[in-house]
Formats: sequence, structure tokens, C-alpha cells
Amino acid sequence: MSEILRLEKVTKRFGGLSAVSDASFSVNKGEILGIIGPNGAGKTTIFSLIVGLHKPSEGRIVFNGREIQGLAPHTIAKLGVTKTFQTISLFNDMPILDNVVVGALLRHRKTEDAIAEARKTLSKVGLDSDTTCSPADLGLVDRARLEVARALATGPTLLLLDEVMAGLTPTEMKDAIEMVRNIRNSGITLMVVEHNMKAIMSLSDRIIAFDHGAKIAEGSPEEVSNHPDVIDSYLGAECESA
Amino acid sequence: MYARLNSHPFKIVRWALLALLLILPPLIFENRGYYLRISPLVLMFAGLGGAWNIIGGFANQVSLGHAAFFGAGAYTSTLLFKFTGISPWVGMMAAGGVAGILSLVIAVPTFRLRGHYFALGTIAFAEILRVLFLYFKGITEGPVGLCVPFVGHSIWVFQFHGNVGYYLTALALLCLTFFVAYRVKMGRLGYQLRALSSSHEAAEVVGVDTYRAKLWASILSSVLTGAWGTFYAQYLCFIDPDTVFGFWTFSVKIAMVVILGGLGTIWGPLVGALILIPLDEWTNVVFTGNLAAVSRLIYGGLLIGLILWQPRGLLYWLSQVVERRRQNEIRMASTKMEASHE
Repeated sequence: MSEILRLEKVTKRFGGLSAVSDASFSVNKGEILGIIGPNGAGKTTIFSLIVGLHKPSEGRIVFNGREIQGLAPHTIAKLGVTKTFQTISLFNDMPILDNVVVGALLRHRKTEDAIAEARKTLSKVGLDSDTTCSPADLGLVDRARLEVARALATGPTLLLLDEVMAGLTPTEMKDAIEMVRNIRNSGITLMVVEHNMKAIMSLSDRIIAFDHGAKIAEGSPEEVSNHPDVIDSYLGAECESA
Repeated sequence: MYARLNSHPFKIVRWALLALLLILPPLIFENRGYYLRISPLVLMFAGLGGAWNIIGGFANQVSLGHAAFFGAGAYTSTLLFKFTGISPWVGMMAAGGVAGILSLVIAVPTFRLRGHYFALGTIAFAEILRVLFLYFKGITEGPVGLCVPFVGHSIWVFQFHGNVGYYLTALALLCLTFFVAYRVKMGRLGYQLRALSSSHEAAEVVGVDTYRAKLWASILSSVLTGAWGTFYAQYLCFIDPDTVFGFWTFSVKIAMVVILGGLGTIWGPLVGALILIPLDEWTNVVFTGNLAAVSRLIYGGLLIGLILWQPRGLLYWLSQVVERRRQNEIRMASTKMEASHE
């Protein structure tokens, strides 16, 4: 399998605190890579580093053979990497459709073309409510879908989904998993951060576990879920409380 | 019926009516100098608001220093005219150019600032220019101000007999300003500006070069503001730093026109200017003598009242009223139809 993204000894310090320390891993073309770990493990920071919202303190990030650390987020988006936001941050002053049009404008010069692309993307994620409304009028499920549509409309080759399934009911979860699989089937590589273990286990081809900013395990879903460190720091805690 | 109103020939009629309404005032007020003196100023503030809106409204980067571009424009064409005799029409383009370059200079330190800090940065910039123009008396005459050399009635040097010429010039410049604002709003840049006004981070991640988008908006906004500066100088034939670079006289008033009319809308600045400028003049005229001191108090009080009443702008209120009336008519028409069926 060919590699699309590689992190080499990436460290990010905020003041004296290391949010990510010495992280190295690769993402293969066409796979769904799950990222797990307790709160504060550095999952969202890793996403922010990849899309350029933060600059690594040390290390290299290589996308399709090109170093991208330190580039502006819009440049990285143009190269084909984008993400959704964990704390959903939609453009609330714009209608639903226009939110997606902004993303589509990255690869369409004309606004009419971008609008057509945006409509297609909205139907792809199954968002069929009135698109002239404000995103603020949407429920949680649809807001997460809109986050995905906006990112998808930029035409990425690598898409980072940050907890787009948080707070969903089991039925909604099934639809969401279906949606993510469809995205992968359309040829897009995915990195997925999710807290729901059942969802991420069934979805991911591979999983990487983080704790305190460091990688503690990597492998197939079975390997990672049976890894002693993962059980200790993450799964174990959940089992005890259950 | 409403479909017919929006059909092509009716659209043309509506625009023709609007054009007629805008051209009418100078013909009606020709013998009533006072109204005619104010009406070009109303158009000017509508235009300044329209230009300000491109960066302040669409991108929500609230500038309280647009007097910098306005004053620079006014001084550019006037100094050119005074020292080289270059026609102020050409000077107007130079004014736009100088204002555009200034906006690039101000972009470097202020674009990293967000919200209130951006506003403070723009205030400081305009104040610096005001002080510089006061200080370099050799060229600018300092606080004494500059008189635009009087040539007499000549279209070539932008000097008209009476007010009609100025009114029509302002109307043309207003059309240009609104056209630019409209194109920006409907186009690629408009989407990007509205996106970054909600969240710089999210806009960047989905591919918006936020710095570049703001830079373009700022250039367009300031070029137009600079051109209006030339209009002002030609219209009043006198400029001084404290007025044209003034915080209250222009920076705040331009922003007020837009906030009162409707932030981020095309027609809001015109609505805002139609209320604000006459209100300003009216309170000045009515409350004179012993009451002169309260004129500003009443003006301010009325403004506060209007904005508390319609925080989203008067254009929003107008559109709500029209929409409600339309709904009522549709409801009445449908009940009539039901009645006739029975």
C-alpha cells in the first residue's frame, strides 16, 4: 500500500506542556485510520498540526512526498488535506448551502459551478433540509453532516473527521458509519477521531492509540483493543465505570 | 401577480422608477438651496457607507479609521490641482490609487488583529495621518486648511455652477460604489469574506486565503473611499486635516451610516444616510441659540433610540414590513378566491 501522509517525530509544545510528543506514523492511501485516546491525549492537536492550524515545535509532516509543516491551512487545503471541527464551527451568518459553497470555491472559479458542486455534496451526505436556512436551525446530526459536506466540497484526497459522530443515537450512528464508508469508497483517505469504541472498531482498517500526547499502540482494531497499555489508559477506565 | 411584478418588463420599470426618484431631487429643490446642499452629502455618505461595508460589513472587520483614506483622497487631488493644475477628475483616480496603497500599508500591522483590536488599530492609523497633515504645514497649510483654487464653472476641472452638477456626479459615483459592492457580495470574494467573518480558522481550513481576501476587500473599499474624498473637496472647495481625517466627522459617521441602515447589505448604507445626514442637519438647524448645546444630545439620543429599536438596521425592518404586507395580501387574495368558489 502506498503512503499518503507521514508524521516524523512530531512534537507540539504549548508553553511548557507537550500536547503531542515525538509522534511518528503513516497513513496509507485509501484506508480509514482510527485515532483513539482519552480526553487530552492530543488527538485534536494532531489534526490541527496536519491541516496547518498549528505549527509543530519539532518534526516533519510529509504529504504525498512534500513537507507541509508550517504551510498556511488554505495552502494545505489546496494540496488536498482538510478537516472537520470537533466544536462544530459552521458559518452561522450564511445559509446552509453557502457554507458548502465556500468549500467548493476552492476548486471551482465560477460561483455557479461551486453552487452546483455544493448541492451535489449536500445530497451525498444526506442533508436534504431547506438549504436557505441558517445552520443554527439544524439539529446536532445535520450540523455534523454539514461540517462533513463543507470539508468534502473542497475536494480533498485526505479528510480528517474529528468526532462527527459524537452524541448520535445508535440508528443515526449506523447512517453516519455508512456515510463515512461511502466517502472512502469515492477514493478519499480518512483519519477519524471518535470516542464511541463500537463505531470506530467497525469502521477503521487500522487504529492508533494515543495517551498524554504519545503514541501507545498501533495496529488492527483487535490488536489495539487487546493492547495492555490501551486497556490500562483508556478502555479499562471505561469498563470499570460500566 | 407577484410573478408578473418580477418578470422582465416590470423589473425595468421598477429600476426606471428608482432612477427617476434619484434624479428628481435636484429638479425639485433647485430653488430651495438648503435641501439641494444636503442631498449630495446624503449620496456621499451612502457611497462612503457602501465602500466601508465591503470590509466592515461583509468581512465584519469594523474599521473606525476610514477617514484616513477619505482624507488622503481629498488631499491628493487638491494638492495635485493646486501645484500642477492636473484636473481633479484625474486627481480622483490618483486619490483612489493613493488610498489603495495606504490600505496595503495599514494591512500589514492591523490584519493580524481581530475584533476590537482591529478597530483600535485603524483609529490609530487615521490619527497618525491627521497629525502628520497638521504638522507638515509647508505642503498642507496645516490646521489652516486648503482652498481648492477657484476656476469657475467648468466641467473639466470638476467645478459646477449650482448644486445639480455635484448631485449628478455624486449619483454616478454612488452607482459605481454600489455596483462594486454588489459584485463583491455576489461573487467568490463575498462568500469568502462572509465565511471568515464567522470564523477565520474554519475558513482557512476549507481553503480560504483569509489574508488575501481581506486585502482585496480593503483595497476596493479604500480606493472608493479615496475617490469620495476628491468629491468632497470639490464640493465644499475647502479641506482641513481635523475635518477630513476626523474621528467623529468621518470615521465614526461612515460606520454609523452602515450600522443604522443594515450591516453587510447593499442598500442599507443608502437608507442609513437618508436618515442620519438629515437628522444631523435638522437637529443643528432646529436647536439653535440657547438650545445649541442640546442639539448634539438630541441627535445622539435619537440615534441610540433607532439602533436600540432596530439593532439589525432599518433596511431589515423595512423588508420585514414589506414581507408582512405581502403575506397579508396573499392571505386576503386566497380567502377571496375561496369565497368566490363557494
